[in-house]
Amino acid sequence: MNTNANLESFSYDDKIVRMFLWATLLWGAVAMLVGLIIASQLSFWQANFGLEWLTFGRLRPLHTNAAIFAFTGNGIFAGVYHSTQRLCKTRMFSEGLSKLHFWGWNMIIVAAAITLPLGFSQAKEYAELEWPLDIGITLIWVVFAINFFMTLKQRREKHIYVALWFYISTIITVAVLHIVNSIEIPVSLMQSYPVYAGVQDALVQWWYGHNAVAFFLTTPFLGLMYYYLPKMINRPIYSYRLSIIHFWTLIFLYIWAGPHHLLYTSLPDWAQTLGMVFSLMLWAPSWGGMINGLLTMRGAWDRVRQDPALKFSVLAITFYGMSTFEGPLLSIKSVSALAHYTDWIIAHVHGGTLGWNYGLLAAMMLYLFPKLWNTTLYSVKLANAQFYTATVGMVLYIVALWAAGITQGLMWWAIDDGGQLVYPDFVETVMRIMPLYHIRVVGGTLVLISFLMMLYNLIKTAQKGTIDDSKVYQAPAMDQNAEPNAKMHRKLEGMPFVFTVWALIAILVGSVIEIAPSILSNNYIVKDSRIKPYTPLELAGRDIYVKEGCYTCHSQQIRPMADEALRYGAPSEASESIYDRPFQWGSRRIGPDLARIGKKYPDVWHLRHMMDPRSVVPKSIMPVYTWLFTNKTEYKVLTKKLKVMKSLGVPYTDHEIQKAVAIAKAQAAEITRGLADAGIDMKMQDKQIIAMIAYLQRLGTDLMKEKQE
Amino acid sequence: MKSLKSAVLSNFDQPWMPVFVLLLFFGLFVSVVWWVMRKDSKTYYDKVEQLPLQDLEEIKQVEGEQND
Repeated sequence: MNTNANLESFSYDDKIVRMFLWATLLWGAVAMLVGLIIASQLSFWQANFGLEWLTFGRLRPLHTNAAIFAFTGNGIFAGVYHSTQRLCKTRMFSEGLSKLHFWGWNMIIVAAAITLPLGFSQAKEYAELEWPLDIGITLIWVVFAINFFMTLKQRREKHIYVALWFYISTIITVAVLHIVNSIEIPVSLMQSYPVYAGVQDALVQWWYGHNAVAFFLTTPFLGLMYYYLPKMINRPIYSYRLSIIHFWTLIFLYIWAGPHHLLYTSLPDWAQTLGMVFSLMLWAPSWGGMINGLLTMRGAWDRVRQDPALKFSVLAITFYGMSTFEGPLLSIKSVSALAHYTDWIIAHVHGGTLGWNYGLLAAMMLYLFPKLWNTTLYSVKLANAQFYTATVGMVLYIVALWAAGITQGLMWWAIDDGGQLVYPDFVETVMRIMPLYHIRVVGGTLVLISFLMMLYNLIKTAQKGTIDDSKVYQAPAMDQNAEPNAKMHRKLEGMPFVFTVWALIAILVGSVIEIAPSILSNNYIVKDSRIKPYTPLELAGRDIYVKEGCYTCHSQQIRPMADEALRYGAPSEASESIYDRPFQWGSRRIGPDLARIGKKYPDVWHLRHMMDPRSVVPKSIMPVYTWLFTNKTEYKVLTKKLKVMKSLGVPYTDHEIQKAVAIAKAQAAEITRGLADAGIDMKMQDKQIIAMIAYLQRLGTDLMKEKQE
Repeated sequence: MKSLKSAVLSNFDQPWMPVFVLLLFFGLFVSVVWWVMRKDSKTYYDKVEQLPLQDLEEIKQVEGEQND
């Protein structure tokens, strides 16, 4: 009777879990549909229907943000809210905060789906959303953190199970990453400039970008794996000890790996090498997690035949192992030399997001829907069909892009005996991989179909089931003195706040050592007096370049390799991008590099190219940019833009700032006059195309000047 | 401030620093592995790894009964 006296009654909040599950299904379908649209645009350039809101440059950020933050984000939250309550034997701390979290997060996604096609973008990958939304994300994340940590505090189970550690590291690291990478100065309601420029911006951005993969697509998913896999097969994980070791090594090492996105760029060599070495070391803890997952299946493999959720679990863990083998491989400098800027990288990320993330979320949802609706899965047959459709689709997608990436990379490299490029026309290398782009569309379509099968299956499951939120459970209150003699990590496992501080330290070590020198040291990059700030008109053009998402297809960073020197010119230097806010180095060359495009062609070439790319490059797959000829350049805001730039340290004079509009208009008039022979009316001078030409013609030209010192 | 900053940064050229940090981190790793693998921790881990499998039994509420 004595023990019964301590029992406390409570119920779980499963309504919030169901809400996040529906959001996961909705945004998953949207993310894949947008992905399919932009994949089709590479196969058929007309597939934006001539609309500016549907171009690859504007929809690609929507696709990545929707896949990462909307689809997997809601999926993570569903799993976290469901499993945390069970593991802590308590209800979520606050129903109000849970609802605020759900609606706030999903409102931000809706805002993203509206603003990104409209071109409001910071042009930093997976961090494109503008500053008001950045603030919104921060606030909602804090709401989530308070709700989660307070739930931990009121838990009725002393030990904090390993899944919860992964959630803790996710919450604190994503907060650090998002805040540091989003420090920006607003110019207007929907535009801002980052405080970082050039190399520094690149370093911070890829520290963020890589760890978005690590702490949004990996650690929370490992947490989900550690909870749901044992649940599905009703046996504990293979090794709890291994989970401790691989947790700490994983979060400590992951944070250093960002610079592997910048190999052979003008980032200092030591930072590149650091990124590469830590990426290689990551192979061990990543495979620790994979092996722990797969070995948990031992003795239960026969059940994979009957249970589609288990099929997806095994698929997900296998893809996790494949992707985390491929990642370190791609981080080796000599492999990166071939793979960087090609579709190999796109194949790699889809192995992760489709195989691992979609796979694990499918497993979780196929398991959770029957549970939460107190019924059985509507159709196991349909779920099996979904599994095979998804797998075939993924394999088609990934293999096609592996082949495309390696083919194009080798074609870029090829130099003949005479020291000339074998494929001097960039578009030739694009034409060669077009059939593979078509196969990608087929693969992507199959994956989308598989997702819609699941959507139908789960809606039907919910329809035939019933919701019962009246279930009451009992558990004894947590006894603080249960283990008076517990040792260090044992205690740590029971102290969420101290644990959190240690996890924070583990991720800050790498962050500080890598990023601090770029901020503190005056010698981080060698300065060059020839590099001057952009003129007001060029800056206006640059902002259009940013808005159109040109970086999604064009890099601005020439690597120190023979073929790149022949094709694009001298290697890019760190000093060249000191005024670039944001940096526009890019990560993929669907079209050629633009770092030294300035003065390579006459103005009229660019004019024709934007109006109809195929009039100057017959086989080009670039969409037409006709709206640049009708939309007006925003002159008025230029004074404000220059002021903000000056506050960030760009040496504009007061005269330049005051006369910014007049200076810009004068340059625009000059460019337009030069286009008179092409039949261009002077009325064109206030159109965006002129600003765009001014910017493009500036790129890389500073170093053509005589060195002054 | 500047002299302090440059004094700190000049330390980055000290060759013993990376070696020290390497040994520190490796030592940390070895001790974590040693600590986790200790023999007497087995019973504890055997217990906690069961946590996700311990679903609570639903309590059937009887009219008028008090739960506290």
